[in-house]
Parts: sequence; C-alpha cells; structure tokens
Amino acid sequence: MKYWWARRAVQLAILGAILMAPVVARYEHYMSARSYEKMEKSFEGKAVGRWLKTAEAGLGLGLRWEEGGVEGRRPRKRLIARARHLYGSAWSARVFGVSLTDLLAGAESAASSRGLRTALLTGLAVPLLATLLLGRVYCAWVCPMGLLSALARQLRKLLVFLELKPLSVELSRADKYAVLAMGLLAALLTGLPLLHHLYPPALVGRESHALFQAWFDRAEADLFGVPWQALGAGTLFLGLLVILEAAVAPGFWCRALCPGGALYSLLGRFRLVRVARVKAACIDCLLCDKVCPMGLSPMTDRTGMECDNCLACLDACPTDALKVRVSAKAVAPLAALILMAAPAAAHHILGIPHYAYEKEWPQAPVLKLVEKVGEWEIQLTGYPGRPKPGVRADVTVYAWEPESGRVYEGEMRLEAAEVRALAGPRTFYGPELSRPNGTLQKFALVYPRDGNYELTLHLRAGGVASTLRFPIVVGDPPSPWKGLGLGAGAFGLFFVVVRAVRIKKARREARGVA
Amino acid sequence: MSLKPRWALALPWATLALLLALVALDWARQGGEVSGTAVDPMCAMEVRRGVEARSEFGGRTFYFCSSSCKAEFDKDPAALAPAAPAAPEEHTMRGLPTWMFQAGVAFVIVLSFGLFELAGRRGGGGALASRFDLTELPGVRAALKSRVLLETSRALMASAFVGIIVAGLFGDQSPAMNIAPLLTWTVWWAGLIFLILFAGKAWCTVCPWDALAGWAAGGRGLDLPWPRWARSIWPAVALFLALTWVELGAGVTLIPRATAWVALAMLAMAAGSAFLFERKSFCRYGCLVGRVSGLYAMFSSVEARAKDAAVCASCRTQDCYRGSDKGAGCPTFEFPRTMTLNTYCTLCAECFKTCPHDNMALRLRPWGADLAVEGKPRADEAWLALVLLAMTGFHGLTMTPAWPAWVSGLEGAWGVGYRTAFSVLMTLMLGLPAALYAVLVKAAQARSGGRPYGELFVRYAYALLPIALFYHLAHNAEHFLMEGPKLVRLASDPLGWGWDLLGTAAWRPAPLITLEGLWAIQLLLVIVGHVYSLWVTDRAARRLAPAGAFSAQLPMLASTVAFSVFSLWLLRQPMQMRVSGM
Repeated sequence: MKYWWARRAVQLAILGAILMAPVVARYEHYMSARSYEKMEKSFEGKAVGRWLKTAEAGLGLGLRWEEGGVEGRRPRKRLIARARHLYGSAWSARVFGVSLTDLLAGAESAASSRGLRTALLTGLAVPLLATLLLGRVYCAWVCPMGLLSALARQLRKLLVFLELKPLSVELSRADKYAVLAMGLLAALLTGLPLLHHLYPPALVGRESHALFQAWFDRAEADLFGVPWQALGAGTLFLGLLVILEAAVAPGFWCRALCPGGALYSLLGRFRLVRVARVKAACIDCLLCDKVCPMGLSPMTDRTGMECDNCLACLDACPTDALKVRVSAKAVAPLAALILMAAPAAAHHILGIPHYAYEKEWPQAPVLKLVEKVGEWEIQLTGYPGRPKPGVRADVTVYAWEPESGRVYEGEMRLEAAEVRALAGPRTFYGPELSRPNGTLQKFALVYPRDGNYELTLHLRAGGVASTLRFPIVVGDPPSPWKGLGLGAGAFGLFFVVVRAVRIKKARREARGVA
Repeated sequence: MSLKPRWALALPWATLALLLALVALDWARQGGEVSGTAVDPMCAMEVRRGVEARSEFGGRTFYFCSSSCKAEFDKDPAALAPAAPAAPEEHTMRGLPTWMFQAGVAFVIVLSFGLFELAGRRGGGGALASRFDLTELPGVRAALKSRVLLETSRALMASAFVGIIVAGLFGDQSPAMNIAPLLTWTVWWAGLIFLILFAGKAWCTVCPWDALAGWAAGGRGLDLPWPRWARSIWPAVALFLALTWVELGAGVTLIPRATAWVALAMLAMAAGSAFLFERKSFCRYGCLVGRVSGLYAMFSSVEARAKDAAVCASCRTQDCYRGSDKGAGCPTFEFPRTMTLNTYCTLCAECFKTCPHDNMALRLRPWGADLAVEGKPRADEAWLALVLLAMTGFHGLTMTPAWPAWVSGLEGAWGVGYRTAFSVLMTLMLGLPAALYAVLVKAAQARSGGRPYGELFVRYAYALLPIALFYHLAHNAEHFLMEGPKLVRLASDPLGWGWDLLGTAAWRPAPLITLEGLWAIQLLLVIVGHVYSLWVTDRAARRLAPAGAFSAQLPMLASTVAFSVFSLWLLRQPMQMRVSGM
C-alpha cells in the first residue's frame, strides 16, 4: 500500500494547491494593497475570513512575526514574497519561480496561435522532460481527475452495495488520439482552443478560480453566502464524468477519451522509467491486472505507452515480481531536468488585478419600481438596489401625473414588513410619515436580516386612498429550490436505500429457501 | 326494510336542503348580483351593493353588513360618514347579535333538560337501523368496481395538489394574490368537514398524498409492519396538535410558501411510510386528516359494510382482507366481515372489487349511526374527540379581539416572546375543556353504580363529537361562504403573476351570503350538533347505567350544554378577518 499512500498524498497536496491558489492570490492582492487588516476585520467570522487565515497560516509557517524591527507585526514583505510562489492553476502555473505549463495547453496554444513563443517553451520544459522520462506520470500523480476517478470507483462499489447495478461499457483506447487530433486540428484551422473545455485539470483550476473570485468579490459587497452560481459548465462536466465512470463505464475518461492523456501517452512512448516484471518471480495470479486503473495487463507486460506509472500493480503483487526499472540512459536527462528548472515568466496566468480596493466597487445598483394608480404614476427608488441588512437603506418616492405634470404633494406613509417562511409578515418600520425633499418623499430604513421584504405605501392620490405594495430583496434570501433540491435528494437517497434493503432481503430469503 | 323509519335517512338531506335554501333565499333577497361591492363604513367589511341595510347621507349611499351596523351609523351619520374607510386592511366581522345568542342558549337549555328528555324516553331503535343500499341502484356497483374511474379522480386531485404546491412555492407571496392559502385552508379544510357529513371519508378515497405516495412506492416498499408500540392514533393526535400550532401560532395560513411546505411535509411523511410500512399504515395510524375525518365519519350518513353476514360466514377465501388479483386487501387492516364502524374505512372500494360474492354494500344511513351504538371505544380516539372539541373552539377563539390582548398580556406579564405566550395559552385552552369534562365524568360516575372511571371517560367522549363537528362547520361556514367566492378570481391568476386564464381575474366577487343569513346558518348548525350530542349521550347513559339513566346523564347534559353555549358565545364574538388575507 505504500505507493497508494504516496500517490494519494501527492495528489491531495496538488489538488489543495490548485484550490488554494486563488485564495493565496487574493491574500497577496490584499496585502499588496495594504488593505488586509481592513478585510480581515470585515470578514471576521465568515468563511472568506477563514480562507484568508488558512492561506496566511500556510504562508507564515516558520516565519517570525516581526517586520521593520517591530516585534509582533505581520511580516508583510516576506508573506507577499512567499505568496508569489503559488500562482495560477493546473493549466499553467508558477510555483517557486518555476513556470509550469500543461503540455496540452502548450500544444493547443501553439496550434491556435500557429507559433511557439519562447515564454511558452520555458513553461513546457519541465513537464515535457518529465513526460519523456516517466511517461504519463502526470495522469497518475498530478491530475485531479485521478482523485475523481478513485471517487468514482468508490461510488461504483456503493452502487453495487445499493443494488443499483452499474454498467460496464468499454470504449476503445484509440478514441482519445482521435479526440486530440480533432481538437488540435480545430485549433489550427479556426484559431479556437476547444480542448481545455473538456480537460479535467484545466476545469478544476478554472472553477476554483471562478468560485473564489465570486466569493471574495461578493464578500467585499457584504454578501457572504457561498456563490454556487459561480460554478458553471466545468463543474457539471466533472460531475458528469464521475457519474458516468461510476455508473456506466469505469475509468473510461482517462483510458479512452482524455486528449491530455493521449498527448502524454504519445510523448511518453519511449520513456526510460517503466514498470517491468521479473518473470521468474511471477505466479500468474492476475492481481495486478485486476487493480490496474488503466485496464492494462502488467502480468503479461502489456502496458505499453498507456501506463501512467501509478504503481498500483507493485502494491498488489504478492511476490514483488513487479519492479520500477530505470534505464541508465535516463540519468543524464534527469540531471538536465533539475538544472532547467529556472525562473521564467509563464505566458498566461489566472489572477486578478489589484486595484481599487479602497474604492466602493462594485458600485451598488439602484432599484426602481413603478406603479400606476389611475392617472398617477408612483415611482419608488431604492438605494442601494439590493440593500444589505443592518445598514441604512434609502427609499425615495416620486408621484406625479404624467399627463399634467403635476407632482403629488400630499401625505405619504411607508410601512416595511419582513416576509417570513413560517410566520406572518413582521412589520418593523412604520407606518412612518415621509420627509419631503423638494418634489421627492424620502424614507430611511434599516432591514434587520437577509430575506424578502414588502414595502407598503399609503397615499391619497386623486382623492382615493391607495395602498401600494413593493417587493424588496435584501441580501441573500434562501430560494425554495434549495429546499426542494435537498428534499428531493434526501428522498432519492431514502428510495435507493429502501430498494437495496428490499433486494438484499429477497436474496437472503431465496438463499434460505434453497 | 320497513318504510316507516325512513325519515331518519332523510334527515341529513333535509338539513342540506334547508342550508342550501337559506343561502339561495338570502342570495335572492339581496338581488343576486355577482359583482359590485361596497365597504361597510362601520366594520369595514366588504358587502354586496344589493344589501337591504343601507343609508343615504349627504348624497352618498352607505351599505352595511347588517342592521346592527346600520343602526350604529344612523345614530350619528354626520360624524361617521367622512371617516369611512376606502380600502380596508383588516375588518371586524360582527358575531351573532345578542337576541340570537340568547335565543340560542335558551333553546339549547330547553332542549337538554326538557323536550328531548321526554321524547328520548320512548327510545327509537327502529329508525337507527334503517339503511338504503346505494349499490342496488344501477351503475353504482360497477362504478365502485371500476379502477379507471378511481385512478382518474385520484390523478385529478393529485394534479390539483401539485398545482397548489407550485403556486405556494413560486407564486406571489401575498396571500390575497396566491391561490394556495385560500384553496387549502378555506375551501379544502372547510369542504372536507362538510363532505364528511354527507359522503363520509370520500376525501381519503381521492387523497393526493396517498395517491402520490402510493404510486411512488407501489410494490417497491419494504412492507414492514407498523411498529407495535405506535399502533394507536396518538401519532395522528400529536400531528393534529402540531398542525394547529403552526396554523395559528406560526400563521401558516397566511403564507403561501409555508402552506406549500406544510403540504410537502405531509407528502414526505406519507411517502416515507408508504415505502417503509405495509399497506396504508400511515392512513390508519399516522395521518391527522384521516384520523380527524375518521372520528367525524362515525357521524356520517354513508357507510360501506358487508351486506349479508351469512355470506361472509361461509366465505373461505377472505379476499377482502387478504387481497386477490382483483384488488388489494383492506389497506387499513379492516376486516369487512366484522367492520361495524366507519372510523378506519377510507371508502377506497378495494373490498367491492375483491369480494367474489359481491357482498359489499354502500349504504345511506341516519346521522350518528356509529356513535349511538356500543362501538369499540378506545382511549386514543376519545382523547382525539376531546382535542377536536378543544381545538375547534380554540380556532374560533384566536380570531376574537380578546385573543391578541391575552397573548400580549401574557407576553408582558411573563416577559416571554409571542411563540411562548401563544403555546402556553394554547395548552391552557387544550387543558380547560378536558379538565371540565373530567370533573363532570367524575360526577356521572357517582351515579352510574360502580362503572370504572376510565370506561365512562372514554365512552362519553364520543358524545361530544357532534358538538365539535357542527361548531367546526359553523365556524368554517363563515370562511367558506364569505371568502370562498374569491376563488373565482384566483382561479384565473393562481400564482398572482397577472394571468387571466378564465377571464375572471378582475372580478371582485361578493360574499355568497349576507351576515344575517350567515348567523341563521350558524345558529342552525350549532343546534343540530347539540341535538345529536344529546341523543348520543342519552343512548350511552342508557347502556352504561340502565337503572338510573336520567340522573347518570345529568352531568353529561351539563357538559354538552356548557360546550354548546361556549360555541354560541364564540359565534357571538366579533371575528377579525384580514381582507388582504383570505
């Protein structure tokens, strides 16, 4: 199991780095803009605040809390310097000053731009050498899809346990080369990079950036919910892969369809480090064939260029007949690999510009609601349009007759009530008389919490007493879809468990009878 | 079947005809206009423009809900006219006028201790036994055996249910704009009770909760036996109390979304039970609607029973209980051969389908037939009867002006929040009637010659059911007749999204009845309930203390009078109704 532990540890560390990169970037930006302390205060007790603290704890490991000779002060410069050691995502990154660009990214970038930039080459150097030496090692040890595939295998076991018989469709390994060829051809002909839309490591990195970017942006506007809506097609695609691998075709993505896998396989065709079998020790037990995630056959040495050196077969072999063999020719290139790891600028890196942290950004939009009563038109303007709880919000009413241009100058009262889920509306403001301001009627109110509110306006326009109701949304109110989704999910799970219990019971009974 | 006792069969239908006639006469008297409403300047109630009670003042016509409001206005029109509200937020509905209340109380007392006592002595066994077998009519048995007909009506109800959920969750959250609260709490809940009187548990036959749960779980469930310790209707009693609490304490009736969530919670419970437990265990033990209507259905004028005991005795297959390829065995674990009460029968008509001898009958019968016989009294059912009595009264009480004063008084006195104060008062209102009843049963025991207290407590509780049932109707008649017509408007725009499906969205339908007409109906209902309660008490007393039936009955008479007078008192109170609500 030692290789299993090692592989999982490496994969988890890399996934953690991919997920944390946007947080570290945000931390670095706040620090650079000298607004970290302010953010820390306004994010107190919120998830975003904890993310930043996590990033700081990691970056501050072993650092003395001292700056400019003042004991206890945050070592800003050194923290920033450290934060700059983790930039980007799995598609392209700069780690400890080393540019790393995914080979597929490089190939696609070269194809769509019909050229090779030096900056790109420096980023490709390390991955390329590693692949030439070690083969598809990226797939087994780095790519987050490795973890998702493992998750899918566990789900598959769960499905079997729950009596939901998963299918076992097998696709041809050759398909992925067709996907790669078509993708690169399309990029070459149209200049549109397409493959990164279906390449798991790129998707994980991009979705993580999108999520955290939205999370922090909204937090700066005092909206603290998790912005699930920031997750898009990428998450959907990854979820679909997991479901398909679990329920339809085990391991099909990496084996048969992944364009990145195809590229790594091609480049690793003549790798110098590979798994080899000591024929004398092999007892033909087939255990290694059974565990191979790529569906290969180490027992008969038929691993070829598809093998990703995950070493699961070494773990499984009861007689240690399988070994990692390094050919002597590999030593020189390995040394070169280490030497080439020089600082260089990556060609494109996901990140955010650090400007405007002291400005009010994004600007709060204004809400305008219009109602008609007979000839009268009543405009209700709210600022901010999506008010925040606990902060003063302004409501301005302008009532006029568009025909005659006459402006309403009578009395006006406003009442505000919270619309609650399991209780009646709770009035927390008014009916309050307006403060006239020229032709406008002004109200100022403070909403107690996130949720749906109703503003009720009483006025006598044209001699008729009118009551107008305006809906207002404050902060992030929960939507019924959340409850419905949770309920449906819980019920689906309940249904599956009941079904499994029924089948197992019937089987036990049938066995008892027989 | 002799012809003579048929009058007992006709009585329910005569009452129905009388009620309909009262509504129709009232309608005709007011000119029968569908639309065109005005606002009563005194109580702010919306009334039809055709009402008789009106006054002219200063060139304007004022319309009143009743002569009481008119009389009040006419005292000083000059002061009252300018303050007349235009579009009210809340109005107060006048209760029974004093003379009606006093007449009602006098009538109740005279009935209890005078006339009925004399008439009751003659006994009347013949009338109670009269039945009319509907399955002898052509087509009825075929309809009951038809699965297509049953499933079609269930599908219709289920789609209406889904519609309410969608409207409640996604429609406009103002209760006046959304069809969900009105359809659920005014039309369905009131209609359900009314339906029980004449069609028994027909609701259960087409119940959408059971239909959806059953379709989902059909043949896919675990069929576990319902846990032995829960084989009573205590779960349903607890659910009924919980529903009353969320309905009144949390104001669910005025929140479309909350209404939908409550309906979905019921669906989750029904579906969960359908997957876990055999047959329709939830309908028998857990469902509050089923159990409340089950108790009321003992009063109903319809029953499903085995026709000929001799046929059942010779039957070897017992398909009605076990099920066959023609249908399921009784879903609520009743054995039609020995079933004598309506309580747990959902009128699902499976036994009509399975019985190979066509020995099942759907019969009309006199009201209260199950209550007047020995029956199989159970403590949990008796307590549900008491809870029903207490909670229907409580329902009315929360709408009186006194209630908010009490709640805020308690909030202030104890320094607690609204929910706590409400819960404490609700517990009190639950406990008071039960305590009064317990004391009176003790008094009855002293005169019943050694019968155990528990037995008397349980048996006499059934006698209170007609009072609860008819007060329930009297209270809901108000909602149904006064607010029900708003359905016409909401049906065109169920989600409050500005639709006009049927072209009625702009209607402002007037109440179906004037306040004076409503009072007559309420008074009639309370007195009918009281009479039936007296009758059931009388029969129970004769069984329990044959020697001194009259003196044993006195404490129970006192309790029926007390509860009926309380009902009348509640009807006399002004009710606060939200116009924007329902």
